[in-house]
Amino acid sequence: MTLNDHPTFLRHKLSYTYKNCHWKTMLSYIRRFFKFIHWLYLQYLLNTALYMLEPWERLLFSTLLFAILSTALYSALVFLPHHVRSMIQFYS
Amino acid sequence: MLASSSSKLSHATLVHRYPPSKLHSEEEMSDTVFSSDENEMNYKRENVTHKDDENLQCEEFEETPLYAAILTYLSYAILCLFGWLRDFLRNSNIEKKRGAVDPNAALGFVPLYQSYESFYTRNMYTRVRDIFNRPIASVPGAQFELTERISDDYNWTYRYTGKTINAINLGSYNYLGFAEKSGPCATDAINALKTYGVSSCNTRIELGTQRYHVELEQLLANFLHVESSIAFGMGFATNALNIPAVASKGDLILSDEMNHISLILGMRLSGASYQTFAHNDMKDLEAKLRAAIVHGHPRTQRPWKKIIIVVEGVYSMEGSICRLPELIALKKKYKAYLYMDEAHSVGAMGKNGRGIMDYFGIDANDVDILMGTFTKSFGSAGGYIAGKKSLIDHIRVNSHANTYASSMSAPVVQQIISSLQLLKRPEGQKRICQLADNTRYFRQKLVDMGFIVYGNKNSPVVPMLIYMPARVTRFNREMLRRGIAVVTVGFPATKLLDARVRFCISAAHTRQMLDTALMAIDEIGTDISLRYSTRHQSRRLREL
Repeated sequence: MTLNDHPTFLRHKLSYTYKNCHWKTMLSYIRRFFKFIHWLYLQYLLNTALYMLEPWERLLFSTLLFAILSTALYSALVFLPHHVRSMIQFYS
Repeated sequence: MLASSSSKLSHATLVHRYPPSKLHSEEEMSDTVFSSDENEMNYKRENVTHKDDENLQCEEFEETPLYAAILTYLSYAILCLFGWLRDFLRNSNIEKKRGAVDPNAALGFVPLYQSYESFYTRNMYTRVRDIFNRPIASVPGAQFELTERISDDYNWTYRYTGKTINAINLGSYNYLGFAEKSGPCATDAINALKTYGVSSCNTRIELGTQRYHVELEQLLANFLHVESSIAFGMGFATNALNIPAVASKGDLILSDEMNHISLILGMRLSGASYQTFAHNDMKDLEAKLRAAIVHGHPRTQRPWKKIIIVVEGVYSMEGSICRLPELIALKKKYKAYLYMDEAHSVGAMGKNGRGIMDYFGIDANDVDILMGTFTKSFGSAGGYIAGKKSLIDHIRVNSHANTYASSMSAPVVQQIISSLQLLKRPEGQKRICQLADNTRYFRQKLVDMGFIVYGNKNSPVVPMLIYMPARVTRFNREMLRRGIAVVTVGFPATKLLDARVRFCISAAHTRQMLDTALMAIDEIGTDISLRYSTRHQSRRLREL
């Protein structure tokens, strides 16, 4: 992150040079959204210590995590309604 | 009975909010390094009226939040898993081994070390090694130059670009700002070098005692209000080699659990038995003292020859101050001896800079053995022991540091002499007041912003907790990017969970430098969410 990507610097720059342009403020919202996504990614890296690892290790871990989570999600979506229905039938 | 006050001041929970009126009066103080005489007098008057025991000892050690502990363990588990993966790749020769390797293993020799470079060093420390042990390129004053180094292979090797980074120094032990290359102390040291040369080429016992050594010891004894003192060339060696001179087999040493490794090494070398008591916990210490006196040596049941309590004035990792009044009361009641290591507190604490004795207003003859170093507050190198003349004479004859180490060099001694003489004059008093002012301002702002800060509110060592290893590295790198050099400490020096950043405030820091640092900490603290405190509300700096 260079100095130009710094949040307050960018905000000041925008407010001083483009004061009443609506499409420029929309651009600032998009920029803030991307900054938020970057912040979320940074939190993920920091909390799981991936920040200290090399890029291929990050890829490996993220791939594994994604695979496990997506399998769990898929199984839940496909099988849960049937399980819940049969449990209700069993207990009623 | 001392238990009434010690029961109230238990180690984990006492919180004193800073009275708001005092804070406003502090913020009106000027921004220059040496405030005017009028402000200094006002500060001194306020200082005197607030000196009661409870206010001096208020320390805060907030508990670790649960989510921080869980995430820290998770981080270490993931690092451990990847460590095993990389070790497997290295051992099966898929990846090249970069660390130290036993050269004789192939020739059939028995391995010289158990493991050449431990798992932790290979897989966790080396990955982020660039935040530790940075070489510096100038005198470590309030602002200094760091050499820039770049690594192409993830911190296994470095190359120096030749450029230096100018940064604010929040890591050097420069409490009174004596680390300067120009000024009265530096001029005196250069003159001493021209008069006496660099080395005395001998030990103190033989022909190595010069008149500046005698002058230093006399000045130091007058400064500390003790009978006599002796100075050595290395602070670590002062502890490690002089504890064996005062303790031996058949003695008991009771040491605080957070004591420095030099004290622990000295205890082990002496051959005495040692036990640790919980950090700053006077009840635990009293229980152990009573048990020791009643039961004696565990195997032979004989009474101990003497019992020595070893504590530090200011603990450098925790920022806490020892409970000296209660210790003196305990010591007198149970007839034990007290050894106090004032490495970080001499010069930095107290109205006249005399250390913890001055801070609590206690007579120096109550502590049997006072030890300190010149490295931290006096801008020099070495250590000293101070106490009664009989003790110092015994040490002069029986200590290895005196009989075998070569005596201190002339410019080093002259720097200490000049700084001691400076501390007596008003200019020195201004430095002490500036340090106290900086310390309270910085600590109060950090606590108000919602960070967890350990220790006593008057100690110039400010440890701020960042629990996770990745956040520690990010914090360090981001601070350097903003031009502030800090020291972050992780696992072997602290407990596994409590990785922290330790700020060392100096009298040479101006209010402006501290504000820059606080703004940077505020920003980074928001980016990587370091505001863990539940006792104090989290606020941004602009709201304060």
